Amino acid sequence: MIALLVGNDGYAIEREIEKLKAQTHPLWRNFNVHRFSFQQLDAAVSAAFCLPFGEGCKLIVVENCDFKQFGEIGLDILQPLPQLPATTHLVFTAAAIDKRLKVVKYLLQCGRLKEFTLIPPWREDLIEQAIATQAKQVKVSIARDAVSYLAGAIGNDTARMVKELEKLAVYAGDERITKEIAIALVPATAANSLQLATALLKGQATSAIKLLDELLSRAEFPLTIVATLITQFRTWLWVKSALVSGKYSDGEIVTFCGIGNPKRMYFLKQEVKGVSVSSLAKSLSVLFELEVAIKSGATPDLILPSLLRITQLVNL
Amino acid sequence: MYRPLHLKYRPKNLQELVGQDYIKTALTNAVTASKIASAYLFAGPRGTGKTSTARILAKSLNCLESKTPTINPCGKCSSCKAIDSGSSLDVSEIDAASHNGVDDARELIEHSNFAPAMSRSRIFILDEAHMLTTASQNALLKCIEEPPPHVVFILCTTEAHKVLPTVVSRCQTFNFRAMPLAAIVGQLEKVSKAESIAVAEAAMLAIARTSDGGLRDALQLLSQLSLLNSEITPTQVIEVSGGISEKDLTDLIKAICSSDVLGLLQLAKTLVDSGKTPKLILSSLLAVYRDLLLIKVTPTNQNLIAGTIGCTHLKKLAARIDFETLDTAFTQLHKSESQLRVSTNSATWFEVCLLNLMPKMAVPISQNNTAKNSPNSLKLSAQQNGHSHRLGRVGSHNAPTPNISSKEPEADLKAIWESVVEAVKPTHRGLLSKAQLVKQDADSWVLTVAPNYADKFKANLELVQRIIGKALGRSITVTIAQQEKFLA
Repeated sequence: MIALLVGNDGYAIEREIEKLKAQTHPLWRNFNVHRFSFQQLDAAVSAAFCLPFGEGCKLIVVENCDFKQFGEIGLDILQPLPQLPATTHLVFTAAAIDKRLKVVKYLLQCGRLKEFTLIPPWREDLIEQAIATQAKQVKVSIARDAVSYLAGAIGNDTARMVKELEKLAVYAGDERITKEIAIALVPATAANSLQLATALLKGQATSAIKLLDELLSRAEFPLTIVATLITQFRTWLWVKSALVSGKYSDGEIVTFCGIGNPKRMYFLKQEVKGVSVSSLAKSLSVLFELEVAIKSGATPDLILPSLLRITQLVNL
Repeated sequence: MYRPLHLKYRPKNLQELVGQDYIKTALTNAVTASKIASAYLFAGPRGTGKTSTARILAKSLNCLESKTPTINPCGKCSSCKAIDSGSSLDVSEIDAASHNGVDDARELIEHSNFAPAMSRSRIFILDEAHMLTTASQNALLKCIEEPPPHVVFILCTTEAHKVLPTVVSRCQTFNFRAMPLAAIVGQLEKVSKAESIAVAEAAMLAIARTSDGGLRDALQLLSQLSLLNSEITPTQVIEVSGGISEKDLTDLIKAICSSDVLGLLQLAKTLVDSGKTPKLILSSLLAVYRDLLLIKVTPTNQNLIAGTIGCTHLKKLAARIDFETLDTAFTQLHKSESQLRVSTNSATWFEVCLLNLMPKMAVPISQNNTAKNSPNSLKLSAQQNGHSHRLGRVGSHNAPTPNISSKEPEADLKAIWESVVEAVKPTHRGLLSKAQLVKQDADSWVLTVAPNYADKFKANLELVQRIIGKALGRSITVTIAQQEKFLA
């Protein structure tokens, strides 16, 4: 059996390999599972053609293949693959694959391709789906709102998703995981920083103070908070000034503001509706000053007054 | 033998852990269901129980009294005792701050392969894990991901962002939170009762406030205060923790607010003479100003107050000052703090800084006006109408009245013009800012222009009219006058 595991989701690939590993005989596992780098291709192939040691089957993994580097020699080495013993799994892992290459075409003839790409971070629906599926696999019951909260908190990090679900499963035991439990055990610091930015933009001092307190009591690094705020305000400033000038289409604004997800434009427009360019610019300069102050050794206490100043600016 | 309170009252099992309810339950369930992860990461601010939890977990897994991991480690068996004294063969508590190199990591990996000597599992507690170098964290990666079945890693850190993301994603992360005031006060109450230390209710609150959500700091302060051998009062707490008393601070702020120069200087002098450094006074003032800002913006948020002044006092003070004054004072204080650090003559700097905090008395009128004017054209035109009425009436008497137009209307005209310039498109702003509005009737305006721009304005008169008309929302006629003429 030959398999090509391709994609940027390293953790998912690792889990797939783990599944194959489980098929080998536990007592003989140390003799029958081997990992090679792609430079050792000939060694890997010759290992694959040896019969399994003792009982069960054999697993050979060729890691991080760069198929371009295989070349003619690689193709020659791989020629006997159709005669691979049925008891042996030969697995190639790679971050990307170019199907026009001769080697790749040949490998696809002999084996099957499985792709593991990370979900793009803005496709929250797909992330939610992935979390729900994973929850089903580890047999925990989880509330719908908890799933959507987790999707926001974790993002597209598969490894973290699995770990957090394990933790939640241990906490809940046989009970259903509610949103409250998820919030308590899985902090969403990045999401909270973004919420903080939104609160600031709307000039809601109370909620801004609460969010900041929450972040600081979780030992969130002050510079990270400020950096998130700066990025967010910068995007808003760009979008707002582009909108005010009235010369650009949404598509153009998306490209020169560097917004990854075109659909976000709609929300950005809604967000910047009530604020003026000048208050955004002033807020941004307050934030930059704050960043400099923190970098030159100011205490986190300084953050709050600066943020209050921004809420005042926005409310003017 | 005397033991400091924070060591004596260190929690002995998961049930005694204070303030971290969710983590308590999660770990208890993990132990009872024996679903122990191969690596844990405990992150959170100092004094919130990370190392204590790690030790409890180690004891729970290894206690010899029971056959399986237990949530109630006995604390008497040889394993529990060895863990307490730090001499256990199977539980190595490694201070990662001083063993941060790759070689230490490699040694650790080698050791992890040995079977446990006397108990069920080998446990590695890496305290201050953020101090590990990148290389050593990378060396540990493989081992943390797939350790031998009997090994558990527990990483404790105050700065989770310094731990490599690849390490974090391999661990089960528990985020400890800073303890809420109520939890600290509760624990202080319990300890003071057990140790029969007399503490006033308000003093406990003061201790909790100074400790920044860290229980260890709070207990340490309590044990320090208990040596005074009398009932502990809030004033004592502030004295011992090296702060400035509530009364002194309120007096200072009051003197600043009422611009009482002599009183302020005298107060400062007495404080400095009583051994408080200028830096300490400034940082306490900084805390008070922060609280004042907070109270000013959200009068209901009482639990976020960090300084020593109580909420009712703060509210009274806050009522006397407006946000801008507070904010400028705060910036001033912050700047002076760094100046104070480098200057040799700190006493003078300190006094200058205090005097600078006083609210500015004189605020120029024109500045006031522009602040009120927003570039909103609706508001602007409404105001314009008001002005034109007044000016119209003056005009109908057909007498130029220098008395009235001496100061205020001039400032008004300037303000109106500024807001017009603000309201037009940015491309026209440069041109219009060269001109000045000197006379304004209902529908005709007179602008003065510097001589070198006069031709340009005259040539584009219609355009200028259109621009201004657009900004105002009604059409007007504009006359251009050269500047010298008017001056003459």
